Amino acid sequence: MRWTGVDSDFAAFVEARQHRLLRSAYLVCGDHHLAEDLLQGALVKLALRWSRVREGDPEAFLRTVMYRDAVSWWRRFRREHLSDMPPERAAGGDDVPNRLVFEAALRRLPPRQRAVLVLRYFDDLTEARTAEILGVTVGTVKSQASAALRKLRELAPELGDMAGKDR
Amino acid sequence: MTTDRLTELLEESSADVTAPAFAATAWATARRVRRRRQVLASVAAFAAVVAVTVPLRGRGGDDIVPAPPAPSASPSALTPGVDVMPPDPVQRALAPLPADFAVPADAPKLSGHPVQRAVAVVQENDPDSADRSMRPLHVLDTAGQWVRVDVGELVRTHDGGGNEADPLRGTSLSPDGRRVAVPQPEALVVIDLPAAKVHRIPVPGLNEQVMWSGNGIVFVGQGSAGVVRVDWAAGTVTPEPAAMSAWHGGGSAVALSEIAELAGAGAGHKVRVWLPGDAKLLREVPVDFGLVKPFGYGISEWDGPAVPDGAGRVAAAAWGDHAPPDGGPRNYGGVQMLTVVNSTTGTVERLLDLGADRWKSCCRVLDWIDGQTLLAQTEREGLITWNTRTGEITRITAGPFRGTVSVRLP
Repeated sequence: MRWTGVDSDFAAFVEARQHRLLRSAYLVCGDHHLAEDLLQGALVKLALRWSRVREGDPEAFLRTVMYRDAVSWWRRFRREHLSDMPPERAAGGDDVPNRLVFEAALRRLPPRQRAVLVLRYFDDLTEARTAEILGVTVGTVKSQASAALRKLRELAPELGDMAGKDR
Repeated sequence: MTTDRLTELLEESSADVTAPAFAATAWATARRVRRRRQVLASVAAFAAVVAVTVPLRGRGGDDIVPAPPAPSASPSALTPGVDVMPPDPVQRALAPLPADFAVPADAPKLSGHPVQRAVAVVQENDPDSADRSMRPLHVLDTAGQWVRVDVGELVRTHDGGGNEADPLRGTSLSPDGRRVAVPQPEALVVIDLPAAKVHRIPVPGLNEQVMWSGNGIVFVGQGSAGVVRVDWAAGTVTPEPAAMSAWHGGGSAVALSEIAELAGAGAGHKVRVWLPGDAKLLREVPVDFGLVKPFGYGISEWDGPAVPDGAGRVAAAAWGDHAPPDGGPRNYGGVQMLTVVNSTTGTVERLLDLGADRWKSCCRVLDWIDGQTLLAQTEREGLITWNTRTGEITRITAGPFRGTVSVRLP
């Protein structure tokens, strides 16, 4: 890897966070290549503003750009409908790993609901922080999370009742 | 299973994702963007001069009647500047648009109630609703009556990846309000409202976007730039040499006249102007942010079609940065805006700051009501007007409308 000319603080910042952020992006958009594009796009925006943002909260900036881009891509172009169907289930339904059932159900949620779930339960952010990143109210975060969990339960009942039990 | 289990599943689902090293590429890309911006800034003035002196070129097809060039913008019609969305705009009626904008369940059917002229066509779509079925189209006539479109079979559009969208577009209603163009897989559907009849014209491919050129031509686009030209009355489909994008262009009220689009993200924004029938760009000018930059605004990306005012300007939604020069709170990439751009000089003449507490793509420009007032749809307020001369914002609807709206006011 050539590091010539790269701000060393920027490089260190990115190196420390890129894997986790890419996993978040993947969970939100469901596609590895699109996830890389999202993170790369957000990192370019961060690099362009690095001198101004570095003293503040660059991670918040990065998350905000990435999540809002992820949601807006769908909202601009596809109006949040995905036609992906859950994986075929073998008779008895026990042969499909829970992970695959869960991923298929997650992909069928509207992107804004996916973003809320990932921010809350993967990134482990508070409702207030999630609201800040997505540019919505805490009430919206609550209602979106509730709707997402309810939908997950409908789509993948075999995963159990995760909707009604908060930590 | 608890939310702890949900966290475990999220961890498991993304466990196989491996990350390449991003830092060097991001930094190098940012450096290229900065250089390009510097170059663009230095040629901006020259390009603007060239743009106003480029003559209309002849076009390839004999069947094309040259359109008159768009008149230049009247400097008195718009005052440059920045407006900020008030927290609670004054509500004022804009006839014949209803204040509640609620589509009645018992609206009469188009087949029994032909509509001579529509001012709006809508398709409800509530992303939070459990009901995922596609809602029918409804048109609003000039008397303010809703009519349900019951002619023609419509399906959702989709791209090659299976991503679906309801078929109505903000650009669907024709300039004269008499037809609705709807993209369909392998077809264009034009609903003739006065005749209560549907024209289904075969158009190969996964068609996703439409824009009108006058009232007889529809440009149909798929996933990327490039369109085909459809004469809906004749039922003909011909390749369109101009590589314009139906994602970014808003069409034109005058047949085969200029179509402007706002393009570019990060690496240099441009106004591109096409003349239908001509493969070469009529003009391309860098966007000039000189009038809004002193207020601390920068645009990251435009969103949706550039709606022309017929006098040399286009309006489009956007998002971007706001770093107040007086040192107030900064917001990078999260500020939603409406903008008015001069399609000859590239100047962003006026900007409406909608705030940072909204979803991206929350808002879209619908139509120009007159030479200075825009009608727009916002996720929170519903329909609003923005007077781009006085800066006045009024709320037309009492609340938000969940769905797609296409408006052509008489």
